Amino acid sequence: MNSETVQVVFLPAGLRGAVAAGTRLAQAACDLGADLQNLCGGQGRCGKCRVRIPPGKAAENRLSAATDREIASLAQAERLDGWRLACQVQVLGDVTVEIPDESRTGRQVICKAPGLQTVAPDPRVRRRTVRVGLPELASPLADWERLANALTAAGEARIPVPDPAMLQALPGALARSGGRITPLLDEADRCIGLLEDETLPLAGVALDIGTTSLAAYLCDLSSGAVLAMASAMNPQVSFGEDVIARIAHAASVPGGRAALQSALVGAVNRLLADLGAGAGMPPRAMAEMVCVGNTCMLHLFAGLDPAGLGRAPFVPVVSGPVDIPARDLGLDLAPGARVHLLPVVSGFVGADTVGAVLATLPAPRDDRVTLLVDVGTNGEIVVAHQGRMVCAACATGPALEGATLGHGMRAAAGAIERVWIDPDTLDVRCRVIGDAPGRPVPARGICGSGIIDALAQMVAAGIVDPSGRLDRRFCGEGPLAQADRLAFVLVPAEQSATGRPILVDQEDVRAVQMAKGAIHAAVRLLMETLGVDRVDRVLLCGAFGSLIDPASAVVMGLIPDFPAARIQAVGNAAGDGARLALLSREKRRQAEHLARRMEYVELTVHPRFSREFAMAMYFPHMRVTGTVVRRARG
Amino acid sequence: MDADRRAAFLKQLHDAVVDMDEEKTPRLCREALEAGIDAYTAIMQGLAAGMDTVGRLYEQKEYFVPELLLCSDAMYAGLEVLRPQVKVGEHEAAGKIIMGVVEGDIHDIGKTLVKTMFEAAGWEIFDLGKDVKLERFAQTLRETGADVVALSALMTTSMMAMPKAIAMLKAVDPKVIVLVGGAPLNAEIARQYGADGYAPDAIAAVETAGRLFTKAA
Repeated sequence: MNSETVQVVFLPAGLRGAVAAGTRLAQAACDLGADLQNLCGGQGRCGKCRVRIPPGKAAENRLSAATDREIASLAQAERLDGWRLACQVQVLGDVTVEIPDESRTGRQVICKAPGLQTVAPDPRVRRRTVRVGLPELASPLADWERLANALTAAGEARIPVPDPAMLQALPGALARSGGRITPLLDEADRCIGLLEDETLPLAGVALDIGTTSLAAYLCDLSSGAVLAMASAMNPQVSFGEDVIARIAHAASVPGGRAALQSALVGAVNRLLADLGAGAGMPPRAMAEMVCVGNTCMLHLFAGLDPAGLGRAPFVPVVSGPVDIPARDLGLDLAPGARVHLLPVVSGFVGADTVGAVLATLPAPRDDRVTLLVDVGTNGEIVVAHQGRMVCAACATGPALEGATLGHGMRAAAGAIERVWIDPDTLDVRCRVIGDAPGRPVPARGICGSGIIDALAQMVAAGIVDPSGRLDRRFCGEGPLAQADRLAFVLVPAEQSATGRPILVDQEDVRAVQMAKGAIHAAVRLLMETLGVDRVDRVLLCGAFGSLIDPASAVVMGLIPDFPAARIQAVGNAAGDGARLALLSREKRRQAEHLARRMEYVELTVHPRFSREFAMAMYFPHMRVTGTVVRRARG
Repeated sequence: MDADRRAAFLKQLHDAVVDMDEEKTPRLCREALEAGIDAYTAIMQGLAAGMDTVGRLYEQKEYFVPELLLCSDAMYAGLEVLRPQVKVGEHEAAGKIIMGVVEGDIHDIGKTLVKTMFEAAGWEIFDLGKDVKLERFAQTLRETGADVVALSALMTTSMMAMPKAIAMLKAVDPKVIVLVGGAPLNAEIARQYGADGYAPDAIAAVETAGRLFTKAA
């Protein structure tokens, strides 16, 4: 039985292939490369992997029976119509499976524009164009020695050292270029690669590995200019939504760590190809890569065991910067190129935070108090004053990125990214990603900036009270769920893309309260640790569909209200830090120095964390509302 | 004291807990003692009854984590006044329970809420805290002969230690009731791990423990 294989076809992509009978559909989708969400890692909890096997086409005995989880998650009418959860159902015979739009991860719209901070380029690599003569019988000098001689003749102070992988490419490159060739050299005088076209720039890649999304910038290392940008989903999402789920996968599934690494490396290579296509140069002409990401992502990228990050006291394998030959990771860069991982602070404050600080922080003597908040699947918070920096991380969960809410989705086309509610009429207006003038896109879900906006507007309009309770007067019974579940409708069924209303229900509000409460509490405790009672400058960063609206962030209490502070949404500061470190060796040294100086505070063991956390779950905060919201009497 | 006045006192105590009033609750407790109300009665029919209502409000999604924590503050403030006045040995605990967050995990807000609800329900509690070595659960079971052990984990990674912990506990006492809870768990995982019960929240935990304990007795 076990060796029996069955044919599975995934629509609309038309991907098909054979899998062993008994394989779960979600696994088959992963094996065949079909785009399918799997937020909870296949536990049947998130309900995001809904697929439809058209009734009639598939006999019942080609699929395993519906599990309890499916019965809980899908309405009976839906089940009769062929809807299943891909992580639950096993394929027993040939089937054709429809993956609806909302179950696909899609192409995320990411706010990943690099910042404008300039730096004097001082890269670790350089280039020098030389002419290499043909070998002659009279002096049969080898290819490399002729190239090395040409380089010293052209002014290289020391005799260069050949990278062995570069040597494999040397004869072909010499032949194709007719001897006029541009070697790439690093600071140790190693020849790491060859440009056959001398008009190509000396270029490197800055990479930001997020838990859910990847962003890459191709930079001209001589001028500092950004030549191309590319972004993609982190394909590891299909192994689990958050870092803990991935650590668990790496630890508990044989070959799990290698699978996570190769999925990520594959996606990075596709990004390199995208960058190359955008700038007109092959990835093998790219001389270097600098990488930021949270500690777990960097471990998984570098092939390091993340197990230590999954249990207290949450220690990484290494916290300082690491240089890795790109070919050891299977990356299509120049043959001898290196990947530089920026340092991390701790198991949960990673190189992404170090990069964000590198890109945004004021001079050490600046008297302003700066608060940096990076909102993602994990929230990282830094408070800095006069050169002292304290930082913390909190597991916000993916709610603030739009995932795992009842109608949450990533910032892809169809996601509600801004919400306005008229406080008198309660009329709702939404802006949807992909909207164009005169050509509105029907909504299919809510992304991170959308849920922050929605909650701020719902609080202001009194639809949700400060304790997070939805008001029965404005929230009809949720049409999708049990009769006792309250929900506020943002987009009615007839206007949505899914034919179902897009709504915010009580569970969604609670999930957002937990996430924003953790960040808000962290800010207060870090300020206390640093001994400051004011903040002059707030920097909000993170990869959202659109930038978080600062006013909404304050109204719903994601951060405390600092009346005198200037709040700036700064987009992907982490990626910008990677770009700066790519361009400048001095910035790399600064990053190393910063990482050592950032003081990590473990919030979970702070004696007052749970109290602060609870109070900060209120909209905007219990200290602001000044009173608790008691049970309605009578 | 007449029954009406007594009932009014207990109702006020109940309401003070439900209203999260950390100042009024201990004051009412002192007044109740002065009025001659038995401390144990004030705990069970005042404070604990209040927490019972709080649990119901949580289930109805009226109350959430902040309210649970504040109500529990009020209850503990009252307990501090009343407990020293309870005559030792006069009242039997509902049962004995060991609880803690398993090794590798330091998230204990959920466990603290569970503890409050068991406290209100009159259980004798051995709280081992967080990041608890598995052997310590077994050792405490050996020492106390507890009826129930409740294991908590917030992370998928630390949750994986539970099957081993459960096996160790069952080796000490095959009849011990093991409950598990925490964000990454569900009833199915609990069953696979060999636990006797799973509860999604603090209120359900007390109910589940009570039900399994009564069944076993």
